[in-house]
Amino acid sequence: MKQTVLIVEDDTLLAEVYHQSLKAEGIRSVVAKDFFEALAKFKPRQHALIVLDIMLGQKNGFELLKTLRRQPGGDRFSVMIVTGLNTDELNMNKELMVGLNIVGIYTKSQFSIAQFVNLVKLYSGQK
Amino acid sequence: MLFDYDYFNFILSELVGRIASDQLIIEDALGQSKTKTKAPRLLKILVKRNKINIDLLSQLLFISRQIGDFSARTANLVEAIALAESSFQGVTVRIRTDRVKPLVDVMGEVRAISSIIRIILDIIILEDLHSKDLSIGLRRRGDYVTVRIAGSKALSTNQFLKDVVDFVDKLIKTYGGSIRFVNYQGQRVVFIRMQLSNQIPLLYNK
Repeated sequence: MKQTVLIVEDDTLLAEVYHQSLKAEGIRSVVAKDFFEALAKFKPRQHALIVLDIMLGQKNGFELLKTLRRQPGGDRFSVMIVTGLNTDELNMNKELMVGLNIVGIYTKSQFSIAQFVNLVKLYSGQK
Repeated sequence: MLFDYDYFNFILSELVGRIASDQLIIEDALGQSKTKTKAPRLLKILVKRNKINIDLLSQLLFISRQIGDFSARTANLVEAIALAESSFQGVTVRIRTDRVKPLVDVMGEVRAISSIIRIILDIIILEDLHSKDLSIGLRRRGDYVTVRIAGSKALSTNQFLKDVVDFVDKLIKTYGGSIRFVNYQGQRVVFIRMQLSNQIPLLYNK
C-alpha cells in the first residue's frame, strides 16, 4: 500500500496548496481541517507522515498528536510541525512537545513550497 | 478601555506571518512554470488573499493609533461606511440607507469607525474569497442603529479570523456598540449595533 501524508491545517487554501504541490510530485495526501476531522481521517497503516499545524481552534495540534500517539499504531508515523507561531511562541510551548517524537518544526513564513515538498519527501521516506 | 497589547501583538504577528507565507508561495509559483500551469486558480486566490491581508494589517495599525482617543465624539455613519467601501478592489459593496435618515450620527470618530467597518469587510472576504457583492444596510431603532452586512457565504472561520473578530468586538464596545457574526442558512451576516450620538450625555453622565 502506498504511503500517504496527512495534512492537518485549518487554513483551507494553504492546505490545498500543500495538497496540490505534493500531488504534482506524485505524493498522495489527505487534508483535515481540524482536530475531529484529523481523528476521523487518521489511518495508522497508511500515513507515514503527518504535517501538523498548531493553532487549530478549540483543540490544538499538540492535543491531537497526543491523542493519535495513544492509538494503536500511533508510534509508526513521523510528525512535521508547520506553524504560524514564531520562535518565541514555540519556545513557550516546548514542554508540550516532550515525548511526541516530532521530526521537525518549521515556521510557515520561513520556508518555500519547494522546501516543503523536499522535507515531506525526506520525512515520509519517499526520497 | 484597557487595551490588550499582548493580544494585539499576537494578532499582528500571526497576520504578518500569513502575508509572508503567502508571498513566498506566490513567488515560488511564479518562478516554477509547472506550478503556475497546474494551479493558476489557487495562485489567483492567494494573490487576492494577500491583498486583503495587507489591507487588514494597515487597518489594524491605523486603529491601534486611535486607541486612547475614544472621547465623546460623533460620526456620520453613512460617511464612515462610504469611506470604508471606497477602495475595495474586485468586490462591490453596496450601501442601502433607505431605512434611515441620510444623517445617522453615532458615537465615535469617523475614520476609526470606517476602519472598523473595513476590518469587518476584510474578515468577511477572507472567509469567502469568492464573494463579489456585499451589501450594507442600515436600520435605525430607538437609541441605536444596526449595520447589517451580507452577501457572502459562511464557510468555517479559522482560528485566526476568530481572533480578529474578538479583537474588533472589543474595539467596538469602546463606542458602546457590539458585533454579531451570524451563520444564516449558509450565508454570513454580520450585525453591528452602534449607539446613536444622542446617547452620549446619558452614557458619560451616569
